[in-house]
Amino acid sequence: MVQSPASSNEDTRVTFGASIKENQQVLQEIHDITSLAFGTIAGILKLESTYGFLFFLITNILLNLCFIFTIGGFKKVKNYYNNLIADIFIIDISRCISSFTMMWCLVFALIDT
Amino acid sequence: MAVPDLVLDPSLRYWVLLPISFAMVLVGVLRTYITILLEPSPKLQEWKAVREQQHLQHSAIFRKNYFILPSKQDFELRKKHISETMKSMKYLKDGIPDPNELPPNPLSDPNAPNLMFSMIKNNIANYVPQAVIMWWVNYFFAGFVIMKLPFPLTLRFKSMLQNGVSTPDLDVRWVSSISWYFVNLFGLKAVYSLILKSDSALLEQQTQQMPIQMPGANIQVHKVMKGESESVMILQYTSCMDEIEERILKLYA
Repeated sequence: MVQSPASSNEDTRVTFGASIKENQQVLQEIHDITSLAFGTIAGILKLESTYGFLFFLITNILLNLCFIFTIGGFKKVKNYYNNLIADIFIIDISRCISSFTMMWCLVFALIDT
Repeated sequence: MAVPDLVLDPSLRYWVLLPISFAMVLVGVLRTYITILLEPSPKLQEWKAVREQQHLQHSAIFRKNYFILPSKQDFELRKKHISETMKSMKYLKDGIPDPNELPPNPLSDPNAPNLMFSMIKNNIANYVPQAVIMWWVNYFFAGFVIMKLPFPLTLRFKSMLQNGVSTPDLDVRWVSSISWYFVNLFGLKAVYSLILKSDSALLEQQTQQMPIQMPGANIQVHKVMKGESESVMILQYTSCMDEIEERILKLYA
């Protein structure tokens, strides 16, 4: 017998593209705001070289974990996003790191001179 | 107390750092609005073309979701209808083409230059402001160090980031205005999307609505329709309700 495509298989989950995109935008906005804020903090703390980037990584990972717990834990993530690692941790990282660096440099320069 | 390598005038930050960021944000906002204004209003398509597309979509959706139909009768009815309309080529835009006729030359399509032109316009709207700001930064704030970066860079960056500063032994962390421009160039994306949240969404929507059909993509619709008809014909009815009792028992057991 042909297997029904709707049988409870992970790969045949029915997803609605627009909703997933909307969810990604929500997360992107959070990432934008927080990366600017964390950049400012790094600048105020006068972190230099590796410490700054470590600060970025740690805050970013913590933020993502917090986000995952606000939407209801790791199991609920796949109700909102396609992929846990790619869609929450990886997707915005280059964008975040550049805006973090910008604010970090700016505040660092403002405080230093 | 350690003496700093270099003491910078505090007014540098008010008259160089902040103005560059400010100008870049403003130019970015302006650029977004110009792109929105340059965006052509979506052209109405011919009704026959829309009908053809929607029939193809109908068939594709049916093939994807047929298993939610409640009974086999419904399924057979739709299957028959779709395969027949597809086979009869009733809804083809230009009728069935003559097999001896050569396919139309994609380069002579009257819409192609328009599409190319709008793409070029978009590109220009992106690159011209960047070039202008870069020139402005280079011209106005050349020849002095404005800031110390919080992270070290390799010597390779020296020629680019300390452009016009004639101190061969200065640490690369002290940089001139052009590097602040580059940091801004990459870092302001987040700021733009926060400022222009609604407008950039609008822009995205507009670009999505435009039918993305590259010139030269010469799809022969009657062949696609024939293929659809065949693939609908071979579908076997299965329902998502098959074995539902077992699955529910398994889920809640």
